[in-house]
This record gives sequence, C-alpha cells and structure tokens, in this order.
Amino acid sequence: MALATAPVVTPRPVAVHLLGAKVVGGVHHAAGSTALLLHAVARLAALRRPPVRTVLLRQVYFSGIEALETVAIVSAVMGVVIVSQVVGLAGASSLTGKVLVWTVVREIAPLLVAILMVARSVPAVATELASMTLHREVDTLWAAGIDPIAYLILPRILGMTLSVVALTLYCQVVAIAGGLALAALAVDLPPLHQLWAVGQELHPCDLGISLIKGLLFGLGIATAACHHGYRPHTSATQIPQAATGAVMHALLFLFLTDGVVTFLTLP
Amino acid sequence: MIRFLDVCCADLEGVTFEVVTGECTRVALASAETRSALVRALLGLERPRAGRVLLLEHEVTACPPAQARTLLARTGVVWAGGGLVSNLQVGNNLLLPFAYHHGRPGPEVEARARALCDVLGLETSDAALGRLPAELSPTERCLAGVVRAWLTDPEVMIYEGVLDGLATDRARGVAEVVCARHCRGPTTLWLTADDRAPQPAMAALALRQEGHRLVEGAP
Repeated sequence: MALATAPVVTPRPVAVHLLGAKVVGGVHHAAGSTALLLHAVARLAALRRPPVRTVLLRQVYFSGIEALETVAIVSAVMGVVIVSQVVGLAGASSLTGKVLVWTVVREIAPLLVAILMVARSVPAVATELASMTLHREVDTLWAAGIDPIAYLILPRILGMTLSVVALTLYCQVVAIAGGLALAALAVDLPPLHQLWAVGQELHPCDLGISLIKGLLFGLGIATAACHHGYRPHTSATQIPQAATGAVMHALLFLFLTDGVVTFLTLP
Repeated sequence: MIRFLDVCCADLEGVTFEVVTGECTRVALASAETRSALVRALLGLERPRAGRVLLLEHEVTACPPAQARTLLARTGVVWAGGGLVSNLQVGNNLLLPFAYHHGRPGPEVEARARALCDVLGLETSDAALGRLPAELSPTERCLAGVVRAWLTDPEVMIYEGVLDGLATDRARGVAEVVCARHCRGPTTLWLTADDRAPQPAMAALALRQEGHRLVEGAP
C-alpha cells in the first residue's frame, strides 16, 4: 500500500544533476570564502600583535620578494615579444609604446602576476593550512588564546594581496623597459621617443584600473587559498585536494573578475 | 577552578568532578580518545553531549569568542605530543603565546625561557632552539610544550597525557619537576590514559566506564 501512495519521482538527467551540484558547490565556496574574508578584515586590529606582523612579513617575503626574479624574467620576455610582434606588424613607429601601454598596463600585467601567484603561493598556502588543520595545530592555537583567523588567515590574505599589487607595478615597469630596450637595440627606435609615447598614452586611470585589478585578484586568490586550506581535514589525502581545489577556484575567480572589470571599464 | 558537571562526552556518561583553585588533580582515563575529549570539552573545542564544563567559572562554549580567548589566555595547555606549531622554530614556538598576548618578549623573557628549558633538561643552544618541531624527539616536543605553557604564568594548567607512552628515566624526572612546580603553582589537571607512564605525585582520580556505570576512585 505504501508503494501505491508514494510520490512518483522522475529521475533527473545526470548532466542536469551534475551541473546543479557544481553550481551549488560554487555558490557554497563563494559564500564561505566571502565569510572568511570578512572575518579576516574584522580582525585588522590584530596586526599590532608582533607574531601576526611576523607572519605578514614572512608572507610578503615568500609571495612578493622571492617572486621578483621570476616576475622580472617573464615580464621582460613579455615586453620583448609584444614589441617584436608590433614592429613585425606595423613597422617601427610610435605605435610600439602605445601598444605596450594598452596591453601590458591595462590587461596583461595584473593577470600575469596573479597567475604566477596562483602557481607559486596558492598551493603553498593551501597545503600549509590544510596540514595545520589536519594535525590540530589550529586547535593548539585556539587553546593558547590565539585567534587562528587573526594569526593564520589575516596575514596571509594581506601579504598575498600586497604582493600582487606591488608585483603588478613591478611587472609593468620591467615589461615596458624590456620592450623599449629591444626596440632600441633591434629596430633602432629611439628609447626616449618611445618613452615619451608611453608617457603620452599612460593615463592615471589606466594605472588605477590595473592596481584595482591587482587588489581584487590578490584578495580573491589569497582568500581561495586560505578557504580551501583552513577547512577541517581528517586525512592526508585531503591536503593535495585542498591545493588543487584552491588553484582551480583561484583561476576561475581570476578570469571571471578580469572579464567583469574589463567589461565595466571599457572606454 | 575546573568543574565537570554531569558531562557526557566520548565514552563517558555523567562525569562530575572538580579541581578547586590551587589544587592539583591527576585523572586516569581508559583511553587516549576519552582523555582528548575531556580536554577538548574543557577548552570549548567540542560541546559535550550533555552537562556543563566550567573553566575559571565560565563555560567556554557559551562565551563569545573574544571572552573565550581571554579565558584561554589564562590557561596553559600541554598537549600529548607537545602541540607545537610545525612551521615555527622551537624558540619561536616557546615565545609565541607570550608574544601574542603581551607583545614582543624582552631579553628577560628569553632568559626565563632558557632557564625553564634547563630545569626540564631541554637543550638551549641557538642551534637547538632553531630546530623545527619535526626534528625533536617525542619527549623533547612534550618538554617544549611544557615550557611554552609555563612561560605565560597561567592560572590553570592542563596536561593532556604529556608523558603517556614515555616510560623513560627522563620522563620520570619530568614528572618530578612538574610535581615540584605545582606544589606552589596554579590549579592543575593532569590527564593520563597510560597507567605505566610516569605520573606526578598529586591527588588522583580514576574515571572509567564499566558498562553503564562510571567508576570513580583512586587509580
């Protein structure tokens, strides 16, 4: 009799079910990350505590200073490639400097630095935090009266964000310098003339937008790393999963945000 | 003051006991899981299934986070295995709670940390204090945890199976040092799940679940 009165359940197509699960998972992750970021921001006053400042400086060193060499090489090569392409297409002209500004300053520099950060720091932070939660070190901190979010999360988010913003500026300078150096050496474009063209084309608004992008990218990828790492873990196999999840979500956030900001700031 | 009022957690049902201010009590438990559950309930890391757990007259799980942290800052905990932060050198581990709550430690605090290490037989050379926790032996990790907790002069000390599984002469020496310190020291709760491990001489209570009955008494 119970069977007769049971509601008829129509099986959903598997694809719809999977898509729904993905969407729900994504929303859940976004909500969790936002909550973690807000918790961290609410604890900014904890920066007056020496151990928190020490963690912040260590994070800036690891994410920012140790990345200088890699960012310099990649940026210089990028500048050279862009200039050689422009010269190849349009010949030696003042267009070279303009294209450098359009591409490097507005678009590529923040994105490139953020991608390098995702490759270097996001898995490191997620793995470190996941290992700490697995081994109950977070409980140890709590038991000592130390706020784990203030001590572990806030300095990591802040350190990575500051690093992305600073490296974005650094990347822009190195890429433009590298591109102009190639232009001067290979195709005999006078560097001062090109520099003048860059200066003419470069508006404070462009720099502002690129720094805002850097800020958003930094906050987003750092929060993704911390959110995946800081969740409760009960097995060692969850540690690489935390790193992979953090990288994937950080990349997704990065490209979505870049698209949205670029669309909103179209001239 | 530590008080368990009709607490149900892990395999324990209806546990009631207290450690009054200034008193030292050793509690023997049947398993490491039960021992861990009692500590976690006491520190507000887990809510017991029933009953109330009071630390310094407050229920940590019922306190707002800031108040809970203030309470816990007045409490020293030594975890089984030491509970050190794995990515900090031993020296920084020892000073972490002090630095967090009181600001950058001066030379006198560092000298005190070295003196406490000496008392417990922990190496104090710069090289030794520059090691990471993973490079220490289990006994050294426990001793570092003890020094870290003592350095903040807590009102309540909780030892979670610190010497369990360490039946060595060194561990026996540590038990004597702990006992000597707590004769005049803070309210102390020493939890153990290993009858064969060295234990400090203090008032003892055994909590064991036998069927549905909780057995209390001297271990």
